[in-house]
Amino acid sequence: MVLAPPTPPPLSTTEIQDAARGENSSSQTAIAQETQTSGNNGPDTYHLRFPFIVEAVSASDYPKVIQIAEEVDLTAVGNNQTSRLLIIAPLVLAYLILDQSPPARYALARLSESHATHPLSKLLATLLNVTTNRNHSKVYATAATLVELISQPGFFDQDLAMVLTKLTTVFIERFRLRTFELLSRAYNSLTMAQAENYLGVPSETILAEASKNGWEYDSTSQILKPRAFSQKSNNTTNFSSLSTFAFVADSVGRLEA
Amino acid sequence: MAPTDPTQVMDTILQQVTTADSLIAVANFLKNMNPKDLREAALASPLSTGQDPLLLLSIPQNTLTVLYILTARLAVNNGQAAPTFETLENFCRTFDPEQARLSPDRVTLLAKGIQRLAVSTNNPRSAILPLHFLVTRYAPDPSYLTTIHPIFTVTCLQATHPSAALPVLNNPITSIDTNLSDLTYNDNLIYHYTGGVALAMLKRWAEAEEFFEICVSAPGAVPAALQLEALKKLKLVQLIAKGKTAPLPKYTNQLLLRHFKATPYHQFVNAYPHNVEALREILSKERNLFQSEKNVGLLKQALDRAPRWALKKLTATYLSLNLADIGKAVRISDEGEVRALLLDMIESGDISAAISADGSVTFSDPPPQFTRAQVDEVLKNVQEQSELLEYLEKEMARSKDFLSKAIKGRDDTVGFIGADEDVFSQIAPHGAGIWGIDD
Repeated sequence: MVLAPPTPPPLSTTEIQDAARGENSSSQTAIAQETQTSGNNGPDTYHLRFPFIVEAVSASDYPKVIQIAEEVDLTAVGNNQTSRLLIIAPLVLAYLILDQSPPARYALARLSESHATHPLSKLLATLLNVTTNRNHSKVYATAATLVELISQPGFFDQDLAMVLTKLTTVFIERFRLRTFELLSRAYNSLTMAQAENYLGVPSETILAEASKNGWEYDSTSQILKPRAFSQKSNNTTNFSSLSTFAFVADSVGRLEA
Repeated sequence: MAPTDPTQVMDTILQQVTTADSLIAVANFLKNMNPKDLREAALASPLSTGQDPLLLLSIPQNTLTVLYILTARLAVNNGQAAPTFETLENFCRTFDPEQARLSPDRVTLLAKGIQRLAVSTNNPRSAILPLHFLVTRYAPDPSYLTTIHPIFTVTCLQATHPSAALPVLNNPITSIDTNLSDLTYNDNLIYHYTGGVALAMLKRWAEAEEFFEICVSAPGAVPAALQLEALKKLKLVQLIAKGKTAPLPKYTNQLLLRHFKATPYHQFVNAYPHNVEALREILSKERNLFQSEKNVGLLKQALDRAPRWALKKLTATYLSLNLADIGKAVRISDEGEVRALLLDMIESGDISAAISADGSVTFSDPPPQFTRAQVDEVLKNVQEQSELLEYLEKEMARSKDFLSKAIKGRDDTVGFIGADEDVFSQIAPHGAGIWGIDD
């Protein structure tokens, strides 16, 4: 099969983008023709499978969104239809919701050059980068710009716009919640300005959420004192169950064998 | 006189395979047909009526014949057009594995043909699903290494789709059977190397480290070039994940380490993590080499993460520090960057610390994070692994190679290190058995 060590694939963002451009540039003419052909023949695979993604998003089943999108991406023919974004854009946001940046990065890297320069793709790439780097204020700003873009009347697919709006909203909520939990663990005390920067909401909202979670606030110094985010106690004594009994009996049996 | 027209030969083949009285007969017939080039031309042809023989065959019932036809069509340049990916995927989803195992070389050809077709159509992604079904369905269980494994992982990398390889990579390889698959030494190396690369792309550092280590430490008379590449990546992954490298297994070929020490990677490892200037200099000076070996990404990640190991070292000495002092120790002047680094390390569990509004940071021991269910899971895993090890030990002790070396060792008056008396007493139930020369 391979006589020499296979060339390791690109690992950095720049290398990935260069490789993706190199793969796609040689076949653009044929693919442009294919794009025209598929456009003339009605809905393609991406359009046909998109309703399943809509269904999974409505059910808030983000692993299912990923599963469907990945499968469609593997089986669909043609790389250069704009309709491919019907699958890739929700896929990237679903990965971000689950805080899985690396596969999201490669999903974007697989886009052809024409798609990679689409404003939607560029914004998703920016959102991915600032999320990976935990640049909190930019995460909220980029998400807002994304929602603005897909809300425009001229956006190329209104159903996709609805799905992406929901996914972006859920992503921001989850990101904010993860950040709140992190602040509870990482800070003994922090200023309100810092909290606003981390959470991307005004002080009134922070105070409301903080008091629900047992944080203290000194209005004179404008210092918040987080309380460690409540986790399920590891030391709770659960009553013994039949499954535990079966496990213990089985283990003893193996020792005796 | 035997027919020479491929379509007529195909008629004969179809008649033979559909009337044969056993699968072994079909396998032998297809394998031994001569001349081989006429066989391949026939298998790639339609019937003399112009009909496609695949339309008359059922994949589950006639797996062998369909396998031969598809591989012939993938290999032959003229004649019938190459099968579509839909056809290939359908075959890989529904073939009968037991039939396919009668012709392991043909299965290898199929996998290679699928990969080649995808690359030639500039769409390696199309090969992933067919190969996934082939690799997961062919072997009796996922612990067996086959020739399909390296082809599958290479395809996932070519398609820039490392996550597609995860369902296969998640099953550790513990079984080899050369009757099941026409494996070569390189298959093991390539699979674990490319698997490690896929895992590193997904930043699953612990798993990537394990895969690279398996590649590096595969026994051989001389080290393979691929093992040196795997060693370079292994060291970099260890720096990224832990801030330091770990010793290799004792059975690693020592020549590999000597070769590695002659590379700039060794200098990089030695300067890591404190001498950031030296690291940058090595990266800049040897950039062309690192780029040609496609390791720039890993090196940059290691360099970016160097300050965190310096910070982690502080937690062993100090109970609390302020952000400015931490910044001086890790050589980051911007307090915001120090704060961001601390937050990142706390989030990933590298340190346990709490930052105050006045800029002071208090370090503490990380609280235990486990549940009873996790403890039970670990215990169950250990029990399963112990059973597997015991089974493997017994299987090895029964093997012809081991026994012949053991006898030779006894004849040379070298003792059996690790021999299990119970095991040998089972092998020689009649008392003296093979050890009975002096008894």
